[in-house]
Formats: sequence, structure tokens, C-alpha cells
Amino acid sequence: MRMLGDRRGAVHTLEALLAAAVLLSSLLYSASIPREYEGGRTLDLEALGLEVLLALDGNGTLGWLIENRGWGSLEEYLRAALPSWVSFNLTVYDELGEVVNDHPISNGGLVGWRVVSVDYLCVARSGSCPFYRVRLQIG
Amino acid sequence: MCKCRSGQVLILTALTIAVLIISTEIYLYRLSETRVETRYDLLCDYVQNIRLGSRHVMEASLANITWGGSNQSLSNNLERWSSFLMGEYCFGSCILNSTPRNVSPYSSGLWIDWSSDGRGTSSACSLFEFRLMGREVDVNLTYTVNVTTTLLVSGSYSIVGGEEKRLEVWCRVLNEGNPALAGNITLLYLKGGQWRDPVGLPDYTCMDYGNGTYFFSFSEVIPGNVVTVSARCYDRRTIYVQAEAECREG
Repeated sequence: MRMLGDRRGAVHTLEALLAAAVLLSSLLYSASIPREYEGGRTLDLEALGLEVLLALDGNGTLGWLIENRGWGSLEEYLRAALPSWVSFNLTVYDELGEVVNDHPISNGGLVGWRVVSVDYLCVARSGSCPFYRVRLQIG
Repeated sequence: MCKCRSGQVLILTALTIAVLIISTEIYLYRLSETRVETRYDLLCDYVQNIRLGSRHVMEASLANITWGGSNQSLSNNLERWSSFLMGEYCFGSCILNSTPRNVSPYSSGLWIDWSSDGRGTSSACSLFEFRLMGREVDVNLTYTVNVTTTLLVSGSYSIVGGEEKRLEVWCRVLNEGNPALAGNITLLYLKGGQWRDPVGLPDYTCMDYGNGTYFFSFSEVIPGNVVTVSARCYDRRTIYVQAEAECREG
């Protein structure tokens, strides 16, 4: 009789341990599910990129910098305007699709598990009114 | 019997709680995917990009024309802009039609009046019809872009002695009716049938109030009861405008 009672206690202990293991593993698994990263942050990056370019172009600064080949200033502006965790690479194309910037406009290359690209159409307020396509890749 | 099954009930309860935790997490994850709303935001930014580009085309064309370029440059640049957008396929195919305003005082979208009544105007105005057609979007947008730089000049003089007069001239620069800073502003006065620059005069003063208002004063021997002054300026968008005014004693 005493032996039977001891075994029953051991079985209860095992069952309790199994239940705890089930709960713990579900908690660990649920913690690994991203809450916002997949949809939220990727799409935020696109909106962020467009809004930064819109803000820079609002008073014609973007077109002016491109016309004057101010790549260093453009890079500095993007470094200041974008969050520090964002990596970027900007390329400027002219109306014929030729690359205009002769050196990379970047904060050290694209880093990140997801990279998005936004295209912005820029009109420079200069005599010949040139048009540019600005491609900003952010990760 | 009941005691024997209590362990099984415990495991079943744990499994139920685990399922609840995981399904809640997945529900929250799905909820955070605001894909449709964000795409709408991106579309709004894209349309804003097109509108801003149209404004810059108008500004660049007006600047070019006021600096002596051909009046045709406005319609040429607008056609180029429409063609450039035709090649776009970000959200769908784009069609942009522009109609320069032809109602008085505008002609072919332009109104340039540098008259002698103390008011100078350089203006361009056009109506745009934008159509964006894609699998998910269908946008019809009509908007007007009006780019106007106005220069207001007024002034008076007081007699210092004999024919020597002390002139005080006020200039105001406006962009679309709102005060705006000038990129550069110059005042000239008419003496002996020639425009002269007062900068070299000993008591010449120029004050920039920082709100688009500029004050000039100087003393000079100028015969007659009326002194004609001319202000010439270009604004921060490099649009040129000039205006003349007659200064009387007052």
C-alpha cells in the first residue's frame, strides 16, 4: 500500500512538470513571434524614406543639392533626418536613367534583415528645369 | 478515480492556456500588419511628390522667364514633366495634363507686370489634372498651382535744403500674397534721365527687417517735385520682379 502511494506521488510530480514544460514552451514560442517588425517597421521605412525626401524637397533643397553636386551635404542631411538604426543608400538618376552621383551617398552600406527602396521624382529649380529620379534604399 | 485524473486535467489546462497564449500573440501580430493603411499613406506621399514637382516646374519656368528666357519655356517644361510622369509605374500608370491659365490678366499661364504704380508682379498659374490608374488604385485629382512673387514699393522725401532731398523708401516682398525673404534686392533712383545706385552715397542706409520688409534711406540732390525710384529683386526661388514708384514730399 505504501509503495503504491509513493508511485502515485511520483506520477503527480511528473504530470506537474509536464504541464509546466507545456506552459513554458508556449511562452517561449510566443515571445519569438514578432509583434510589429514584419509588417509595421518595413512599411514604416518606406513611408519614412518618402517623407524625408518630401521634407528635403519642400523648399527645393534636394534639387539644389543635386544640381550643385552637393553629395556630402545630401549624405549629412540624410544621416541627420533618418533614425540611427536605419542604413541607407541613395542613387540619383537623370531623365535618361543615367546615374548622376559619382560617389556613393550612404552611411556605410545597407545593413538589415529587410531592405526597402523608394523612388522620388525631383524637379530642380534651375534654368533648364532638369528632372531626376532619386532612389533611396533603406534597411 | 477523481484523484487519479487530476494530473490529466492539469495537463489539459496547461495545453489550453498554451493555445490561448499563442493564438493571442498571433492575433496581435496580424493586427499590427496595417498594410492597407500604410499603402494609402505611401500613395498620399506619392501624390504629394507629383504636386510638389508640378510646383517646382512652375517656379523654375517663371524664374527662367523673368530672367529673360522664352515665354514658351513654361509650356515646354510642363509637357516634359507630363512625359516624364508617363514613364512612371509606381502605383499604376500616370497621366498628367496641364492647362496654363488664359484668363486675364494671365496669358499662356503667365502674368508679368512690372509697372510704375509701386507694384510689380511675376506670376505663373496652371491647372493640373492628374490620373493614376493601377490594380489597387484609381486616383483622379485636379489641382491648381499658382506661383506669384509681388514687390510693393512706396516712399516719400523731405527737403534737406535747396534741391537736396532725404528719401525714405519701403519695399515689401510677397510670395503668393505672404511676406517672403528676398534673395537680393536693389534700389535705384532716377536722376537726369539715368538710373543711379544710391549705395555710394554717404548716408545711404538699408535695413532688412527679416520679414520681407526692406527700408532704404539716402540724401541726394535731385531736381523736381517727384523722385522716381525702382526696386529690383529676386526672391529665394530666384524669381525676378521689379517695381517703380514715385516719391513725393510728405
